[in-house]
Amino acid sequence: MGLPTVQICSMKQVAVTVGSPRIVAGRSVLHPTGDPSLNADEERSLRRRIVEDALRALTSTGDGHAA
Amino acid sequence: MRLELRSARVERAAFGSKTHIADNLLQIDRDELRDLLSADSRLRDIEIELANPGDDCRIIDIFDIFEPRSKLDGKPNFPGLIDAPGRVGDGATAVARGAAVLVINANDDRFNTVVDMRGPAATLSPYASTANVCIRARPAEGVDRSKYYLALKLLGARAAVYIGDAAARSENPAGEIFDLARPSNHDGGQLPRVAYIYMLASQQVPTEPDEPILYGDNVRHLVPTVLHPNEILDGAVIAPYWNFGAETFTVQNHPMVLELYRRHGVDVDFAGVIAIIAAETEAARSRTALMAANLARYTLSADAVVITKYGGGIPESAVMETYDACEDVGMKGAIAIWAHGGDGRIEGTLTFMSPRADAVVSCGISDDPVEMEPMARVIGRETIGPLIMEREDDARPSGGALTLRYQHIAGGINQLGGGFLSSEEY
Amino acid sequence: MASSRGLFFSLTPKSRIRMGHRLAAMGRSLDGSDRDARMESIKPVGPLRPLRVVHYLNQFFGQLGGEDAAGAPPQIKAGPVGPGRPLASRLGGDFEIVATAICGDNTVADDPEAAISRLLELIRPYSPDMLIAGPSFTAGRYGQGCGELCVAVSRELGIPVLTAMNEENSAVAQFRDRVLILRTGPSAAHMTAALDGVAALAKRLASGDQRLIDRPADAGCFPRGLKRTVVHSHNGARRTVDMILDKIAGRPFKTEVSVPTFERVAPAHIGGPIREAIVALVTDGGLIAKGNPERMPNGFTDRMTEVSIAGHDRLDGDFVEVHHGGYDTQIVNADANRLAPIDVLRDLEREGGIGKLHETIFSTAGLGMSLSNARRLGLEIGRRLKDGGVQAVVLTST
Repeated sequence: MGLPTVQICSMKQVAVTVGSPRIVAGRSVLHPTGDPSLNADEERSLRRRIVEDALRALTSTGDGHAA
Repeated sequence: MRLELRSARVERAAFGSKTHIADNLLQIDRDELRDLLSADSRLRDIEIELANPGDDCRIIDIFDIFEPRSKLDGKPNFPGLIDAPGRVGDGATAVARGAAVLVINANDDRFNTVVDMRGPAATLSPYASTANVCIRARPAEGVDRSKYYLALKLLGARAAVYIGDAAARSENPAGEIFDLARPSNHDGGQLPRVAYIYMLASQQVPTEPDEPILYGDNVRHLVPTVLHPNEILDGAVIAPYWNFGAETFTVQNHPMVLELYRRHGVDVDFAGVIAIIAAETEAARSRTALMAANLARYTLSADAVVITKYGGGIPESAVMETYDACEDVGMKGAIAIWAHGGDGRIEGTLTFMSPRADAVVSCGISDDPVEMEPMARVIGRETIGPLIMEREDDARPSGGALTLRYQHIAGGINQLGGGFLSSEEY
Repeated sequence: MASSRGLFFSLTPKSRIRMGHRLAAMGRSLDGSDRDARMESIKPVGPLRPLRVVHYLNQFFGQLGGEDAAGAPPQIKAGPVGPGRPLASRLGGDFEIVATAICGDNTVADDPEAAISRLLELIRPYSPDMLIAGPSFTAGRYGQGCGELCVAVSRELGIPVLTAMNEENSAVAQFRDRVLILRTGPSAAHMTAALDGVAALAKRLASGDQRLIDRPADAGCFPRGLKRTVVHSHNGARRTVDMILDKIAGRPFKTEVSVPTFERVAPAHIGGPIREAIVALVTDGGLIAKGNPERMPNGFTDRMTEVSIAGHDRLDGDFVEVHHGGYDTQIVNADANRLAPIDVLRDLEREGGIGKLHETIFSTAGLGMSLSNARRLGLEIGRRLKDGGVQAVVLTST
């Protein structure tokens, strides 16, 4: 297909099973890029960190798993 | 730990003036049983109905199924549920073999199951061959789901003991002994030691605070725990509220435990059972896998493990991690697991698969369709569905022709390895 | 229904799942139609005259040229061509290769629908009783053409079809569930053996040999990669203990559920730095436009939706919601950025961390989605993103 893709998900083993090459850990099945137990600022920072990890993974060679 | 099951044979059930078993007939004093069960103020409108093999009858809304049993010699029945926690798995227990107590759910639970007592779908359920004592009860005013379901478990267990008492009073029971230390032709160290890792529940649907699963405990954060197989066979373990492929009846007759017992001293040395749960966080699943493998290898000295699963897709991850952890410490593993049908391709069979899992037995394809003929009589509500995994949005008349799936039939998919359904790849 | 049509492999997803023996014995089918009309039986073909066979070849074996002729249009010639001749002699007098359909590999690969459609038009007048495609060995585009044509001919003409390729051919995984594929060696150096195999298989197919559907692997073909319910005489516990004892003793055993081999996705590379890239967000968490104007299902679907975020700095409940039957969506409905992190991506866009955030989010509800639908949707989404100039994708999954 040729489109570099990074996947944010928390069920890591599924993604590995289906051969997805770039995987970044999401926070939870119920909220991959958030966390309601945090306050708004903390949650925004968490989200930022996860997205930055994901973008960094996009520039990797794709044979490892970030985070 | 030496358990003796003394069975009185039952082939049919009927109402009668006095509860007793004779000539393979279970007679039930309906009023007496109803009065006994009505003592629980959390329940109301208790009804008892009977369904025998071959009846033109469909039973729906099944919440759980119990085998009628009663401990002799004053030992506790269903410790932690009916009686206080106490030692079971030792001594004698009376069993009404061929009878079953079916607890009917007044709630529209998507995991309720169904049994047809005759017709094509009857071949798929072991409970089409039992004399079924079906008990319906509604929650009393203000009783929430959690309290109601606990009351239903107690209802089933009490009815089971009541009928078990009839078995205790009958004459010439058949006997079966369960004793891991029995002499037989036990070769000692030359037989492969096999431990059974038994997933009791999955926390992807968190268990309720007073949901009684292990000696009455809700196993919410269960750390891998060694159990003697007799504890499982004798009432220490009850099926979770989440009714999926393992009703209490099959726990009492645990297929994997019975199989390992059958071969103990023959071609297997049954090393014991390790109870686990499928935790909902990755960290707890890893901890479970690690500790279960350690217990099997270093405490039970097992050469190999067999593993069964409970629940849906997420616990497959727990099973595979546990399998990998066992193989990592030098044991061989085999897994029994039900398969997803999906679009029929083998890639969709399991949600999680370890690349090293080379020994996997299928418990059947859970969502394969089952054609069910109309039935004249229904025990349960007038409409059925939608049930889990159904695409239908509407309820349908319970007694009509239905197309359901194997997992909707009580005992259709047995997660403990009790079924004869399997899947093959071609 | 189609019982006069002979063997065909046209399938609905349901019909690939075979029911257990007891139920199958009832002759009942899921959609109420005659069981024979689905893929589950073979009827012998061909009465007293030779069976009419159309043979399909690519531009090379069809003698139009090499890679230079890979754009050749669909065409048909009377009689056998190239390897069709030795094939005809192996098939013998009960068969006749009445025509050879030929098409360039690129023609098929670039627009399969059009190419196949045209080929069907050309083939129909010959009234074939059977289609034989290939052998294509390891040639992927050729294999794809063979597979696509077999599927279409089976469906439209209702006649038996077969093809042949090597296990390294990427078309095997794509078509083996629907088309009978004979295993061959890796290259045209193995043509002789391949044609022997094709001729033998064609004869079995014509004779109505049911085992070709039930156990294709026993006939030198690829397993179909499907599963079906069977009923054993021993329960699962006994089979598990049997299996572990075999495994311990080092005896051979056969697993009932095999480890699927997914095609490893070779990761594509971003052409330049991420700060210049156009990035799109895709999710399988069931994000939809508020009010669900497209009536997207919350699972078991083959559809996707595109949610516009043009002019929005973050997702909020004014214009999106989440609709998914496989997890509790309360938390993401309270703040959809917890599923699709648009707020943060907009920040990064503003700060220059990424070049640009694509204006739409592609979304589906991944509950119970079949792998074939997932594959198809994935390709479709990828195509549309690329057409939109997108250079990288962040996919969030629940």
